Amino acid sequence: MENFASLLAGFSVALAPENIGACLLGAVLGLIVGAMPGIGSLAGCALLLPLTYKFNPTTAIIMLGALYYSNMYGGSFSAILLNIPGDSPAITTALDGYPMAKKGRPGQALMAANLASFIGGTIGILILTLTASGLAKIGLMFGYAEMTLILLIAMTSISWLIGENPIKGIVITMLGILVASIGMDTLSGAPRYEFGNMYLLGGVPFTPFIIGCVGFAQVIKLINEREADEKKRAGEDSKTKLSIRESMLTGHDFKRILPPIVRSGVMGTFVGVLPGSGATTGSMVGYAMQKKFKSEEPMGTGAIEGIAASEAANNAAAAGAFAPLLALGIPGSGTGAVLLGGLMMWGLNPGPLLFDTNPEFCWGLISSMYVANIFTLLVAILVIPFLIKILSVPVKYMIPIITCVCIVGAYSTSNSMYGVIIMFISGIVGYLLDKNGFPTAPMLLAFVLAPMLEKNMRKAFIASQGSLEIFVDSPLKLVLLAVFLVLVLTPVVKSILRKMKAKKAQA
Amino acid sequence: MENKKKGFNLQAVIPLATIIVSLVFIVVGLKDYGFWKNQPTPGFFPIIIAVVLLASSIACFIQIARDKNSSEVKYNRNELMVMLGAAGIILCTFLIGLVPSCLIYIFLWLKFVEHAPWKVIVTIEIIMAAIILGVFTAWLQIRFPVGLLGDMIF
Repeated sequence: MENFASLLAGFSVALAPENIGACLLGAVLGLIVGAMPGIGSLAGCALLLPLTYKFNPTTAIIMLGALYYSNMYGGSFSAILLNIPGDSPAITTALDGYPMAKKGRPGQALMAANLASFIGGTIGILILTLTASGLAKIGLMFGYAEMTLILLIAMTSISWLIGENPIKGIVITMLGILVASIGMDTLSGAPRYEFGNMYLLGGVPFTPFIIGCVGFAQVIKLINEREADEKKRAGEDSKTKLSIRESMLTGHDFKRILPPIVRSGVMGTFVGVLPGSGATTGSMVGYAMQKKFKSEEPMGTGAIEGIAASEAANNAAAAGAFAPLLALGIPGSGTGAVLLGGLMMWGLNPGPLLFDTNPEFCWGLISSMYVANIFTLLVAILVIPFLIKILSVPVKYMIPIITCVCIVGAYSTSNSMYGVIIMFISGIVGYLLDKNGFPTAPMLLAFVLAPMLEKNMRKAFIASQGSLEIFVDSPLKLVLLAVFLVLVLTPVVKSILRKMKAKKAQA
Repeated sequence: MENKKKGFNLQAVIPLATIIVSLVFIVVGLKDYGFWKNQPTPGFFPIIIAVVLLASSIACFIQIARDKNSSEVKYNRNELMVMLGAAGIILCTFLIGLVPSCLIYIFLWLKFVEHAPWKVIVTIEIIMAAIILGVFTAWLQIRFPVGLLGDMIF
């Protein structure tokens, strides 16, 4: 009950005219960015981060939250109409969405995706409403040592979960932490690793670094997708016309999609809460779970249940990811890391205390997600007749546009060419890392979490006068340490077992 | 895109680079910031991380060197062109300012790389000018650098 009273108070923040405007703007921009193949929510949030500088922190994060959230809707559009997922969570949507469109029901496929996104997202936000402040209360019991262990778990799990190679995950995570340690020491404020460069005294600026790592690196990669994009578009029927009336679902369709939406909505939320999983894992788990249930048409051949399961799960996961972000200050994904970085930039310290120190912000943000969900559904339905036109912008024209947005955005957040140069260098580094199979998301997460980890770890050591016992002196710490060790050792054990199996097979 | 590796695998360049980075952080950290003086000093945390980076980078290097089945990553000229384009904008900014550099870059890219029709070029130029001047300059009140030329004129 207490949560719902706080939620109502939050609506008074979310429904302020400037917040409604920001929410609507975020919803529209998120849909566009999400629908554009090859950009994705991470790059989208990073590229649009400079736009939020004009707002106060609450309005800015409401806009970014709406943007991230509506991105999940937008990703399904190009997946269904072009068989090109706008974002990685929409990969599973394309499996049934595109065949359904080919069967002559593109409008219904889009409507099913929109409704599934809406209901799945609502389930996710409801669970977030019920659990976030409880999670923060648990977080309040954590001291420096517990927070150190929690942060280590968050960093380790994302390294394992993203990418197939855990060693590369560790390398990239450690690199992200070292980049974050350039500038001022978190506790004493003394200059550190600035190598005599006055610009480095302030550290590596967050927004240009993120814009480079994900935005500019993505543009460099996009150039290789030009030809594939052209070929796919050449094979499409550009004369397809869509209307809202013809896209309406029948009662029978609705009966088919409701059970997978509810199942995937609940499952997706819990997947979203886990560090490192995010919306992509959510949609994959939702789709895989639907395969175990009966569908009227076989999955992968245009089953509306497949679209519903995938879309409900990814939107629910996007909402669920806000729980650890707000309550513990731990982002579940790369996009979460961008949002967390944004929060820190505006002087908010995400973590257990945030619900106590800034309740109007926390509940305003959660309430705004309900508003954003409704806005996004409305915009997503109204935009259906114009989708073919919107999606007809070829990748090759987006390359110079996004390059300029990266440069202008990097300059505007730092008011100096230093920011642009950081963006340029981090873009090339991000591209090289990605090209060689080093995932960049763990680096971003590590970059954002490193100051928190360092502060907690050093304070724990100061409190214990250098004794490691502080990390094992309570059952909770032992459990956290065990989870951390399991995460660290699992890939090593797996690798040894795999080698033993291979040797046996050879023998 | 990718071919089977012959000789030195270029993928090993990344762990080699991170080995160098970790050594720099360890040496500079120990020399300038220290590790422990009754309590953790500013070098404490980065040195621990750099040691883990060093160990994992060596493991990664060995893994890549041992993997005979891995395919070597191939880079292509177009990717370099995107980087050169952005570098060109940065350099031109010092001469003619950021906004004109961006608009000239868009024109050159669309006309000579993509061979886009005039209608597309003009439309994109107008949209981008509106975004940069409308959103960033007018709304966000960002004062973009005008370069040497701008300084002479204004």
